[in-house]
Amino acid sequence: MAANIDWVALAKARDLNIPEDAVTRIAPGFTSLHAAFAPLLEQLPYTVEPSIILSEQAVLGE
Amino acid sequence: MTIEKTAARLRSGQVTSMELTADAIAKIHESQPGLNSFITVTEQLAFNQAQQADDDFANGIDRGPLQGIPYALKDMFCTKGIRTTCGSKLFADYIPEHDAAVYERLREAGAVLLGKTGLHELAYGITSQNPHFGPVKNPRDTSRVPGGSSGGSGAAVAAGLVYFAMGSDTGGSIRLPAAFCGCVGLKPTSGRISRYGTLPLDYSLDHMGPLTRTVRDAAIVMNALAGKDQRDDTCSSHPVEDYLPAPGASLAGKRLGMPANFFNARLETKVREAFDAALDRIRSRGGELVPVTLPDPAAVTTIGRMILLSEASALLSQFAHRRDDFGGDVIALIDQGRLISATDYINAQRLRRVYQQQWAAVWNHIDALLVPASPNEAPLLGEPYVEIDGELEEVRIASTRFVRCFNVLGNPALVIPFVGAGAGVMTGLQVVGAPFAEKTVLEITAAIREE
Repeated sequence: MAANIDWVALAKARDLNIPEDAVTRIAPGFTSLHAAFAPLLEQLPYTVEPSIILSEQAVLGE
Repeated sequence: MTIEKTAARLRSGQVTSMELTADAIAKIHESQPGLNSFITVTEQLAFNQAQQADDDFANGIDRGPLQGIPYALKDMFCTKGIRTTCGSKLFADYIPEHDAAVYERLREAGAVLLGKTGLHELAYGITSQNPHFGPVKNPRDTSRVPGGSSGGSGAAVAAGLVYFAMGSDTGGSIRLPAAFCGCVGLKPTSGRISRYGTLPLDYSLDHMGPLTRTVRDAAIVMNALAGKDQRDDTCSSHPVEDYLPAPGASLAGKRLGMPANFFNARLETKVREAFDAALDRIRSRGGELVPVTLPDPAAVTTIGRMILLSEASALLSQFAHRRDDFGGDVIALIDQGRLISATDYINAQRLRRVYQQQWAAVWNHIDALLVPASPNEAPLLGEPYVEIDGELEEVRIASTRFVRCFNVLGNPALVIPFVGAGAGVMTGLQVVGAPFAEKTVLEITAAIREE
């Protein structure tokens, strides 16, 4: 699936202002990373929450 | 000379902090053209702090074993009134109005700041070949990189310029310089040392820790730095310990995991031989080696890369229009992060929790895990690839393969030079422990090194 992503088009569509040649250079390695990442999502249990801390201080606005 | 022995000499009057500082400053200036390990030398501040330490000794005031000991900070720890560049053009003239928590605690402990060490640009890379402040060289072999991103800290400690230096580690940035330069590097548990007042690379993977000449010295620095800081939301209130290993610590009765997967595959031959020799040495010293199959470290590494790319780009995207102010490797990483979707980032953080839960069970069976610090030796300067098992692999990807997952999981991980027949090979042995088991990791590693 990841191999089919057109990163140049995606960068343009999201108006990221990344030069086309820069995206072309990073595309092979980035595609490989996505190809390794995508299968991991298939085993992700629905109820798992992210490993990110919402601190008590943040909730209190401190 | 170690911190421990020097602390004794300071207290017996054999040497003064002013003498240590003058000697260290002279060595830094002498080494700088060759190693380039410092961005800023804080000479006047160092002499002021050294005089204060000596005055305190004379007045019977003893702040502990770091009093009067010269050290350096990676140039991403904020120092009030002293330029803090993060190795970046973005911060080339940045003079903070506050101090990092690490600097505060070291100052309270009486340590003497000699300066700010060089690093990979924005701490985002592992070679420390900085396009703005010049490349840092490896004192063991100047044709090879010192590792990074805390390359200046590793080089300064290994060259004997300072007794210790502080680094940060987001994907191996303390442990790789320690491995490549040949010193000790400790990435503590997530939340063990405050990140307050650092110029961050990442929100959930950054760790602060020491690079030292010995394991016992790393424990001494940990004793000064570990503990809760209300200004860092992620800083833990988990109880701190006295981290200094007992003299003559033994491996007898210790169950030490040796990897049955991932960490034993795709290694340079010299690294594999050095790792095997280290295991032989550990076995002969009474350690019980237990084969352990680890929960998919490759997946954890992939998750770590997704998180780092996303978080670092979130941090740096406001500067993304200044493309010419970044080195080519760093802007390429920022570009990649900007292409990652919010959905993938959040799911990477959810997967992170899945693997943290799976790995928790590993520590029920072993006291520590032994793995190589990297599959390759310190890469040659300017080499974009290393060859492992006949395959070319990008230097950054190969070198971080065995370290990144412990930033994702949060475990303490300590790197030492290889012991036994593999001593001299330019990477090291990594000893990993359960969360907040720094004391166990330090004790085991001190026993391996026979300190």
